[in-house]
Amino acid sequence: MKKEKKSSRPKRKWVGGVLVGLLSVVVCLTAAFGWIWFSNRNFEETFYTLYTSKIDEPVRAVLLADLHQAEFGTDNSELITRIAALEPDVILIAGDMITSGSEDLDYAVGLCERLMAIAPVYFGLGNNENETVYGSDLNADFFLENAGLLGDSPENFEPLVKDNSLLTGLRDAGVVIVQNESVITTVNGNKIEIGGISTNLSSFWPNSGQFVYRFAESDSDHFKILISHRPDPVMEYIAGYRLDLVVSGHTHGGIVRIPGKGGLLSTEGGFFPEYDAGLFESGPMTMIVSRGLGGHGVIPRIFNSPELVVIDLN
Amino acid sequence: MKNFQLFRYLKKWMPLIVLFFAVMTVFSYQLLSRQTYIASAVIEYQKMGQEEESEPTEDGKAPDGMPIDVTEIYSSANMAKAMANLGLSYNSYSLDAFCASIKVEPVLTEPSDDAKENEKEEEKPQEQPSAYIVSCTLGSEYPEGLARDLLNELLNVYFSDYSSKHINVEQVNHQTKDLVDSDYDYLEMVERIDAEVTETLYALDARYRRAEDFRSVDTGYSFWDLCDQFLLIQKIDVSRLYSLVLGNQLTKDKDLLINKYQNRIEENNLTGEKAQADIADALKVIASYVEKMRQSGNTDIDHNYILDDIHDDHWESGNLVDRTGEYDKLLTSWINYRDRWDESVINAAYCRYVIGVYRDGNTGLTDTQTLLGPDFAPAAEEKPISIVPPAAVKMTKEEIQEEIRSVLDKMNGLYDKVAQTNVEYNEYLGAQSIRILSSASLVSSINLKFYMAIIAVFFLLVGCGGAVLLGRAGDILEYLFLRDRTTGCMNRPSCDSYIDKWKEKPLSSKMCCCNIQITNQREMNEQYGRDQVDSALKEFGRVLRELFEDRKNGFVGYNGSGQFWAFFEKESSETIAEIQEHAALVLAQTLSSYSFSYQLGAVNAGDLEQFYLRNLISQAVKERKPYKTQEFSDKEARP
Amino acid sequence: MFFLIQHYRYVLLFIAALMILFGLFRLVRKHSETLTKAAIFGYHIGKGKKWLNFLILLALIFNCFMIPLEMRQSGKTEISLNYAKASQGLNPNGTRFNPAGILSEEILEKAIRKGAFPDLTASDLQQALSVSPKVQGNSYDENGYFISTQFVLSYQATEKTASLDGETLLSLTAEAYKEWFIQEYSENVSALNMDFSDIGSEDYLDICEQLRKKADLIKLYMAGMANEDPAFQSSSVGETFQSVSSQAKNVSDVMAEKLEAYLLENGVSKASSLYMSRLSFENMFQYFDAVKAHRSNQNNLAAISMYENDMARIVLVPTYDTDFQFYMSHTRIGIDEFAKTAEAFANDKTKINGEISRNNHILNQLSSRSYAGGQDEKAEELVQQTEKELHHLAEKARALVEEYSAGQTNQYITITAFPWENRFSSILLNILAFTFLFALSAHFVSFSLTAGRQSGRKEAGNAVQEKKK
Repeated sequence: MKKEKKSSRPKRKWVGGVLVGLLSVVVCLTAAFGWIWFSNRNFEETFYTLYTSKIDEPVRAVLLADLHQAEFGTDNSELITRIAALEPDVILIAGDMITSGSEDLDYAVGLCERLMAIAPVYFGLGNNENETVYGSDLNADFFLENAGLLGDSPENFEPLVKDNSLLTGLRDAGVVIVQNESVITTVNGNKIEIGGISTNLSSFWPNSGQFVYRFAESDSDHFKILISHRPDPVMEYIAGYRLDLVVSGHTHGGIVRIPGKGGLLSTEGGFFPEYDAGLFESGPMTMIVSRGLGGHGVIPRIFNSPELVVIDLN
Repeated sequence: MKNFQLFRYLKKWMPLIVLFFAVMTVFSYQLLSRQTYIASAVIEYQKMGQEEESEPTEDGKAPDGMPIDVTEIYSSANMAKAMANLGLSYNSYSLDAFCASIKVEPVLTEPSDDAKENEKEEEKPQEQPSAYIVSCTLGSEYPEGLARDLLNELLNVYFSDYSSKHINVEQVNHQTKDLVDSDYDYLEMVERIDAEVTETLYALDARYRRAEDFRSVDTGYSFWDLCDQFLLIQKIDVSRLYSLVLGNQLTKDKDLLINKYQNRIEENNLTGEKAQADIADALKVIASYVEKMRQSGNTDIDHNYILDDIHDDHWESGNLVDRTGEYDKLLTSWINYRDRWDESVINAAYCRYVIGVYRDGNTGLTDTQTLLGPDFAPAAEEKPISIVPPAAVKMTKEEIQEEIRSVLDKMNGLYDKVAQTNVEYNEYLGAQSIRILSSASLVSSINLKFYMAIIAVFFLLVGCGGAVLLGRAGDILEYLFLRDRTTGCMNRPSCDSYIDKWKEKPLSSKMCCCNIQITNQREMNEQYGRDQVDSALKEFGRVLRELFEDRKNGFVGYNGSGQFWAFFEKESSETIAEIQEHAALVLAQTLSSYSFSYQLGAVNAGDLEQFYLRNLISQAVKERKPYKTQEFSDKEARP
Repeated sequence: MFFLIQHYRYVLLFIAALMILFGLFRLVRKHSETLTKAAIFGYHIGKGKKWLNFLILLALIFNCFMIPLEMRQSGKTEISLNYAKASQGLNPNGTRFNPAGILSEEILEKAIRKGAFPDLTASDLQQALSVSPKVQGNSYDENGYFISTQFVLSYQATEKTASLDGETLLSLTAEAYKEWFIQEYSENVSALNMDFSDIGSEDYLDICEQLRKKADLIKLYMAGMANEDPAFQSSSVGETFQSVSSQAKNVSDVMAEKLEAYLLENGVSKASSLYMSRLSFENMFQYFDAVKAHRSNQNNLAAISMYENDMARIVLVPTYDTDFQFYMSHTRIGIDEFAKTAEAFANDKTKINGEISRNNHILNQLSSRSYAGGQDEKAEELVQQTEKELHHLAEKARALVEEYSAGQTNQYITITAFPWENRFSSILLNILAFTFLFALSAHFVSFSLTAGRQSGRKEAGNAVQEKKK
């Protein structure tokens, strides 16, 4: 009898231990995924205030970047409501509203139509829009392949357009698309010039550099904003230029953020991107990199809530 | 008596310790949490001057010569303003309570050696404190930071108030706002505007000179700029108005106007006559004074006639006293009377001129001698004057009124700027004349967390100490009243009490009863003597107590005549026989030198299924077996 | 729920304390030295404790959610004052700095507007925020006096603000205050706005006077700024305050003078009879003032004459003059004062007579020249030239002041934020510490419950062994 008892007791103990272990793992994973889902469900707002003598009346700009067709509320109602409540004077979009390969261009156009009802929208294309419009991201290899089409105008990308539907839709909605060009507008009585580029590190100089140089060196009495989807080319080539404000995205805040350290993963590959998110200054130039509102990779945002950037110019 | 056992006492009184600790800690928290917050700042009154030259006051006087009254800091007017600025309504907060919470204490410093020296020589009065600690004490019923916020706001309000009361005392009154719609005649309106602008210029100039560097960030103007604007008004607009009104002889009621100026002439004449009389009197006094001084030889003095060691003290009760000599005062009075007479004559001359304008249409000023009168002989160097204004630009009354209105509008705008600039000016002057030595700091009177921690530990220790005291006292009482002195066991009444207590209660199955009866006590007494036997009985009792008293529900009692009772609960692993055997062994070991014969019976309630004490006792007696203390002396007792 | 979140760590502490007390109570009741020692050495935290350890794991997970949530209910931001007068407890314009103003209704409403929080009122926000100096002195110890220039704006969530991000509220409030402060204490250049529309209808000589005053205004303004920073040179305008002040003086001395000279030499006036009439009446009033000043002067001189010789006794007093040279002064008597007053009235009279003479000169010029009246082309041209120059100077002056002010005022206040990311290690530490505390107290309770049973079983085992022997 005693011998039988001895052999059955260890077995029960082992089963109980495995059960508890499994349960622990399930609970941990549920908690982790639940937290990730919950923290990425809503967006945070980050307020920046810049002081400049070129602005007489205060101007508020809202920056959206890297939405990748994310939804905040039905049809982005929460996002729209919140932007409307913030009463911006101008809305800047730093690219990647859509994810390339997606055929749902109505997302971008529909959202922009509703944004236009709030304030004028200035759209700088991102690599995903480029892939949709031009069939490829605007890197050096692509330009090399299509050098013949560009001819003597390396900064005029019109001949490279393969699918115009997105651009047409946006323009019909009243959005101003700034692709290697700038427009001067009056916002609250202030003269502001807004330009945009969407090239990357490899293609910046031949295909956007001249425009940016002209943009920076022209009349500096008014405030200048450059929308550049990627922050790297800006800080690599034009740091310290006489551009008052550069707004960027693309980095998704480093996807996984290590609190106190910054972003972990670069969207270009690699670790610890230098310009992951936040405000960077170089001489007279200030660059604001948004963590973006959406994502499209396998790795979810961790410690990296979607971000809506509000910039007050005083 | 039982040994001192700390844990036994703590175990026994643990519920009381916990209750005492909890109650006293909560009570202390309630008492201490009624703490107060004290905000305090240090201010120092300065002598009024430019910023680089500021020094603390020494005479305790404000720049206007009045003694510094620190109660003004927490006057109800200032407190009301401070409360309004903080948005504190009277519904929720009491103004009087806040006023009562403010205290102002001087910072007393050791007087300098010079000051002590001066005080000794009575050249200067004692130095008055210039620095004060202003504190605000509020209880915990108010938010924690309110004391500091209130103090800061109150000081802000006070600084402005101090400036407006004691420094920036020149008034800028704008009483001509609605002059056009009043019943004044046109000339009177222009005179009133002229007078107001003159007063304003004087005040603005004084303000400018007091702080030449001051420029308002609110309006962008300095007082000099505003002065210039008023000067232009006076030079251009006022003189244009005069020329229009007088040149066109405009009046709402000519006769009334002429009567008024006639009356003014008469008033001036009366003033002049009085002044003349005063002049005559003054001359007489002066003459008499000088005559007497001469007669008494006081004017014929040696230049060396000066007192060496006696000085006139020009301070009395902390105030400067005017020591001007009487002769100089008399002459000054004479000058003032002369000035008064001159002024009355000149004013009368002006009034005659105005009457001439309206009655005769004579706007020129040619015959000043007639105007001034025969008594007013011009000095030799006074040039005769002849002013003949050209023909006036014709204007209707309505047009003149519009002109006056536009000048007043211009002035209204300027006065608004003056008022706005003045608000900041008062704040500025207040901050320059009262220096902050230490910003408002906030401390709570009691560091609640720290003291609560100490109190908690204290009451815990007190509780434990109390438990020890109670326990030990219990032991002592028990020893005194409930123990048998001979054996150290509970005495007979205790046994009866114990049996009485348990007689109705059902026992647990582990309950045991052990009865020991010494059978040869008399023989032992005869053999060893009573003292020895008593000692042996004591040992007997000690052994039994050691064996049974510390067990659960343990009780060992001596019923007298060599009979012991032991009640206890056994452990589950023990048998009653083992207990009995063990007891006999230990007794034999301990009392090996005595040959006690005794009977020992031990029963267990569970074994016998007897769950009431009396029955158990009976069974124990029945189960008694004989033992002798010298029987097991060679065997080891079990632990 | 809000109370739980806000005091979560205290609740945890309380639970742990209760558990430890319970364990202690159990141990003491069953105290036996030999028993406890055996139990301590025999206790195993893993064996037979899987559910207890699972509970601890649950507590860890719960803490990972709740403790950061609780710690993010509070936060702080620092506001530092960086201008020279801050160390004296003053604002940049010399008035007293009041830290209570940081949480004034105006600032809080501005912050709420910026953040677009429609359900939040200034009063709600005020209850969640507090301001205290970073370092405070001791008013009761002279060596402890201190004037704070750094203030900590602290946030502690209330029910009304619990759903909002505390860091955002802090940063909005701090920025709102900074904006207000800069706006409030920037140099106000409205005095430099040259508006000539109100003087166009005046007569030419009056216009000349007005232009002169405007030039003086610019001159004085710039001179004041030059006192503050003589070395400042504008990068856009390329001038210093002193240079612009000198230019303004030139306008007053040269251009205005040129205009005046032209007007007088040619007797130019838009409405000469009105102007002359005005000057005549002005002279008349000046005359009366001059007579008063003259008579006062005479009275004082008469008093000096009347002063009897033998009453005028003085004593010589050797002293120093303002160059620290030996000087023989004397005691003062009445005639010193009379002489001083007489001189003052004489100066007044001279000044008034000077004005009368000037007015007479103008009257002569206007009456002797045959100017018909109305607008004069040359005069208009000169006026416009002067106005243009003044406009230009005023713009320069404004640009200078604005550039100087921008350089200064934007540095007046520095805001230092402490985002929760910087507190991550503290949060992590708290999670680990409180989980450890919970684990410790849970195991202690387990130990206190099982200790008696274990040791009892051991002793029973020993007793059985002994019995067998």
